[in-house]
Amino acid sequence: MSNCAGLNVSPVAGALLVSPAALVLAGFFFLPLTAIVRTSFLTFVPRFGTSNQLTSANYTEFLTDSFYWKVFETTLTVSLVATLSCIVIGFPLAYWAARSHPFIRSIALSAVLLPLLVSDVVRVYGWTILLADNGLLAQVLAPLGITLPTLMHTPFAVAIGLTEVLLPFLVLPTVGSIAAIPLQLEEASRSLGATPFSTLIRIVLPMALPGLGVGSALVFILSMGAFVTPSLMGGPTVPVMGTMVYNQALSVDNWPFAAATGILLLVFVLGALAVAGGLGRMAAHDE
Amino acid sequence: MTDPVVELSHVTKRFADLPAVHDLSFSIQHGEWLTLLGPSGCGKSTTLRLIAGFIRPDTGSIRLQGRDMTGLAPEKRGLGVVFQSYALFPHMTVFDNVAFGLRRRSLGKQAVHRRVAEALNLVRLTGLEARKPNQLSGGQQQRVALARAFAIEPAALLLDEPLSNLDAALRDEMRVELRELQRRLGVATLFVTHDQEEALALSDRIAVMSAGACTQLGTPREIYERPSSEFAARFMRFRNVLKGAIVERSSDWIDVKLRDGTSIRARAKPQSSTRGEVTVAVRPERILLTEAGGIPGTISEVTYLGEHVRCLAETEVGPLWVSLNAKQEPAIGQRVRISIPASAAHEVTSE
Repeated sequence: MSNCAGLNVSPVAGALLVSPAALVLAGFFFLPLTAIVRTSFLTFVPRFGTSNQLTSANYTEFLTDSFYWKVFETTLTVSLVATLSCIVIGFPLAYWAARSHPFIRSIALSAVLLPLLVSDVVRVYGWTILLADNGLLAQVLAPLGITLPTLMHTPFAVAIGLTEVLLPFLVLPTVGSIAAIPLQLEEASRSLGATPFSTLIRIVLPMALPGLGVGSALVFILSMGAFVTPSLMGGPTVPVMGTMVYNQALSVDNWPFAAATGILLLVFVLGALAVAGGLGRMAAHDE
Repeated sequence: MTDPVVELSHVTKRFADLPAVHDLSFSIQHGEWLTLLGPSGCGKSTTLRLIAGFIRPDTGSIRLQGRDMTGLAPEKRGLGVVFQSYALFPHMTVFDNVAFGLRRRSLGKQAVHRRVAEALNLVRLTGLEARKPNQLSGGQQQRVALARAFAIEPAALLLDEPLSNLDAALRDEMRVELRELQRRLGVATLFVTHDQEEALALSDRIAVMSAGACTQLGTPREIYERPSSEFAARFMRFRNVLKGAIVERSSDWIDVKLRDGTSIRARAKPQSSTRGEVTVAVRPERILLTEAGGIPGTISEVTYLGEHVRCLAETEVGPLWVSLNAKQEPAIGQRVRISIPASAAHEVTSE
């Protein structure tokens, strides 16, 4: 099939249909990205700014300094925890929504989406009220004799914030995947002696993997590059890649290093997704 | 006397206040093949789903081998269900599909292997263990679904229109195979279909269902020869339903005067004592054309069906369907005389 999806579309019409998206992508994605790649190879001169001297020093500096590796490690850990939490919370939620009456489902999905209408800043301040050293949670637990360790400005707080902010990105594609699984497969499983939980794990989960995979990838990508949530929930004590790029570029004015950090992050995330996708495909063939 | 394998008593299920199943009672004996026959929406599939435990009845009880299982979860019932869509697990191989139920029963690995091999051997699919469902033909998928259902040695098999997704030739073949398999396993079977021919060919007993209730329960011969209601009669291809007045009633026969004044004799419904207005069902293939007497009519439609021609005759008692040998094919507009022999007409309850 030379034409997309087997539809009979002439090459000219095809080019016309693709052109708006292609222009947007070229103008707002490829051009800036090219500029960033170029910047990442320029030289930073303290108290002067950026000189046009080409160098790979920005990359070597990042890769050889254990401080930056530590930041990367924190980012990766927090992102993996957030992705996992989103799966653990989001998959049952998506299952329930997908198997509910369409009316209930639309209400549930609206409820999942609603937080996206509230600014990240406001939501994160909500968490602050709850988790702060003298916050709501501490006050509720104090009479019970439970004293909490510091929660705010820890990697744990960042993971909580990311989980809450990014949950919709996992739930939406997963609901779509689950809704497409015929109910009779679950009934067949039950009639053969599988409990509801066993059916969920053995039938629904593997069949929902395409949607769950897309959702997890979205959550992971957005966590790795997150800036607002880590800066508010983690503060200066929990530097992550996003906040570090921000500081390097806008506080230190070291654009070349910020650009190099961004490119390294991009390469890593793309690599991780390629590996995950490959593993997923291998698993699908093995089953 | 042992308990029936499955026993429904006074089961009612409503969906949004519409009764899908209304006060339904029947039982399935050991090794028996019982068919629920009816048009779509008559509640036959709902009945199967009630027995499988996918939905719960509003009132009434369902017993399995004498044990009440009205509120029991489907996974605790041990019934084998085969769906119209087969519902094979697409991400599993044939082997894993058939093994699925066995593995939920904490059998040893060897026992699982042995029983999967036995089940696949029974449906003649040995050698296809490693295939995925989408690599199988419709008939093969059907066989995997069957093997998966009876591998768990179910107390009863529940078959929900399992043949209706197959093409005609394959359907006939699978029908014979299915019945033979069921006899060999001796497993009580509930079969749901809208196809009267399928029901007649396969069943020990048929329950004809209409609007959530069973209108007649009997052997295929009884249902085909002596439908008790107008509904059952129409379902069994008695295309002609005539109204008339009873002139005389004996225990076996009634003489009925039709609207145009002709009298016909019909087999009386057992235990019926209706007087006056009566409904009679007449099978088209038992109607004859005669030279003299009978009901006069004009042929208005002829459909060629190979061996037979199906004709519609406009008469004073209304349109009558007549099935004739193709050699006797009449022309449209031809005037004919129609005779209804006593063996062709049955008294039925009217609707």
